[in-house]
Amino acid sequence: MIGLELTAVAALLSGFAVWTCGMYAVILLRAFRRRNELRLSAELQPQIREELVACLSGSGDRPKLKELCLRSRRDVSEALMSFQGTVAGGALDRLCEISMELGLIRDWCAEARAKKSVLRRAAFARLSFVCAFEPCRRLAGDLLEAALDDPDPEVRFCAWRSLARSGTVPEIEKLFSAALSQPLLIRILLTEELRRFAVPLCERAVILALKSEDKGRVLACLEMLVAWERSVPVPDLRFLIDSPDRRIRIQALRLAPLVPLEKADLSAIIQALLGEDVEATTAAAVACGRLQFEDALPALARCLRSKDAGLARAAAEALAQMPPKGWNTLREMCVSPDPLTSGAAAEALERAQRQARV
Amino acid sequence: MTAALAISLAIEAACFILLLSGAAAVWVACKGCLVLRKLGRDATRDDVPILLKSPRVPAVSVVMVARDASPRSRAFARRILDLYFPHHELVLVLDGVEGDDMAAWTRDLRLVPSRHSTAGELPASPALAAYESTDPSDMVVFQKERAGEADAWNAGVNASAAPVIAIFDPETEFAPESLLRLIRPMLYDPDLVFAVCGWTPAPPEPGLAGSIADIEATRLWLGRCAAFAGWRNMLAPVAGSTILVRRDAIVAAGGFTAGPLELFLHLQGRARLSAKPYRAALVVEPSSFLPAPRTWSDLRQWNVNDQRSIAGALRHRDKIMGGRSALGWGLPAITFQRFWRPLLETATYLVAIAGLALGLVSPLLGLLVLLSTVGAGTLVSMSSVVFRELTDLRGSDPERLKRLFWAAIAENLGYRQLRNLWLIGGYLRR
Repeated sequence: MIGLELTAVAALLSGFAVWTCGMYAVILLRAFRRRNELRLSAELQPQIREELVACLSGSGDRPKLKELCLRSRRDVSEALMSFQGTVAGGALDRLCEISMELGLIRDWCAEARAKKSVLRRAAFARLSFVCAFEPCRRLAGDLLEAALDDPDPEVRFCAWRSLARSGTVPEIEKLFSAALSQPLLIRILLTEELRRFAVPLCERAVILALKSEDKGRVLACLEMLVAWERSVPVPDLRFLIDSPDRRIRIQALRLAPLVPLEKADLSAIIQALLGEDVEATTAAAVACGRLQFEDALPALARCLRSKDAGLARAAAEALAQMPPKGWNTLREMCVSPDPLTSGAAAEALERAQRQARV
Repeated sequence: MTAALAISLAIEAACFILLLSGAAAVWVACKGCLVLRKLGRDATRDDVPILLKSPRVPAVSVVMVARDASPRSRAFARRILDLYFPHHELVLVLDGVEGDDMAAWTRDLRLVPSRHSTAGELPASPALAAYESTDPSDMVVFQKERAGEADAWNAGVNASAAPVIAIFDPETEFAPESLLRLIRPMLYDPDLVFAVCGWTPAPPEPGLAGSIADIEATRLWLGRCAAFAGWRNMLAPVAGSTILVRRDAIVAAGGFTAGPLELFLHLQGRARLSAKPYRAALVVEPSSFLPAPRTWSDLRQWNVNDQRSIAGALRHRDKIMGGRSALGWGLPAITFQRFWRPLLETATYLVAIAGLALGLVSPLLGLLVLLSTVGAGTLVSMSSVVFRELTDLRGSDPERLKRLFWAAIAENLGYRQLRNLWLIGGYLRR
């Protein structure tokens, strides 16, 4: 009986051992290949970068670059991509020209049609970088346009990014509209890409989004405007500050110090300061501080007497930004019998005076 | 004759259980491999530069509890302040620190009295004093009387102003951009991701002890980190992890009842019972790691510390929602793998050796014991190395792989048996 059991266990373990050793051999071979690739990269990358820098500055030895490309197309692609975010204008055009000359765009287009998601994602990332250059865009054809609706979110994001770099205003408006329904992370990334289109977008797309029935889209639009930190015209901000949705109210109050305001908008901010919602009131206090809005001093003093520590601190900070009237109010509040009020007032006053001395 | 039969049957049953546990370990490692490959494919884009300058990224309060003023603790606080993040603050709770130690902190961080308070939603004893730094860093420091671990953590959460709380293990090494990597899952799914856990195996140290530690870290990485992250609400931080937790989730859960591990288990237990698919996410990009053990003594300490943290969490199970089932079958499986299996294996060795000496056990049965412990253990270790290598989409260092091949064999000839004793001791000592 024990002999039979032993045989069965030995057979099972032997089978597994054969599989494990086989897999071990495979990963070892792969690791050796990877080491050779890394060695080649270590040798070629400095030369490729040197040649690319020379080419970008207008000189450079294209035949040498072609020779290097024959030795390792992967390394040339990686070196090209390492310039992403560091070159623009004419230098970027020359870089894209080089990638066309070396036939890399065709490689990337082929990889973009591959089944492996890792290959596809890398290819689309590269294409979205070089397709800022019109001739490259023509060579890539409708690949990026088709990728706008790709099921893979990473591929879709690359296509959006490419569109943000080279699209026309109507295309950018479409992209902005699509971005509003994306997860926060994607919205943050696209916000950066769309920042330079803030003014044309505010002419139509932003106004339409702010008038949307979908509260989520209004909120996303406001968040994007706050993140742009650009002084763009946002008409009728008071309606958003008075919105029944507290999240919209808070974002509108955060946007207030960044955009040109009308008198009615300022009244809406004071009304928000007198509200019951602590987070909205805190946002209003912060806005008043940034705007150095002295008409809000009595309302800020009221907020400073709040039982909420965060609100009291925000109101004190706002008053501290409005010397001398705000500082006088803080001095009066320093002797308040409520330790929270006196503490917040004294702390903000001390900090403001310390900063003024510095 | 009856005694011999009973002993043989008991040993055979033990061998069967040990073989099954080995098969389960391979299955878990395979699952971990698949999860890591998927996470690796999804993490191809580097968002760090954009996130760093975005005002939309929520602020993070890094809560740190220090019980001394050792140079290591102070350096750790400095490293926290040097993290790259758009808005982060350090909330430092000096638990029971006074006299010269307090003076050292005051001098080192240039502290001046402040009026911040630790009063808030969570139960915590009031602070003796609050301070802030005159440096341009965002920091608030509280001096407290020692009132337990949970009290100190709760005070830190009460004082934090950010919607996300970060907790770093003081023993860890971490990259300055680790917070930016950890926050990504929370930004991708802000409504459902209530916590994020980041851990990666440390770069291996040379020598046999270093190679065996590398295999240990591989098993931990594939099993308790990756595989558990792939199953619903089963992820729990291991020693050296960095954790991000939504502040509102901590407040809703009633705060800390012991340390960060117990809080995490409690939150996972709550998420399991919730109707919504709340989840904790694992981040696979390098964020933090415990320095790899160099010597046998380091390796022993590493095992014992891990064992104590598991035993500590189980001791507080009545304060964790779901108790032993907070992670589903995860916590019982960890307990089996880290305590009952070593105990069973050690007992099997002892009985088999005694039985062989007394002639009650046949040599074939002794061979079966060796196959189901040493043989199966070697294959489990080797397959873990294979699975980890397959998670790397391009391949790693061949020299390391060769080293690990021999270490997987050497590990099971002496170290495995010794480790069993460390694990049993670490668990029982609590």
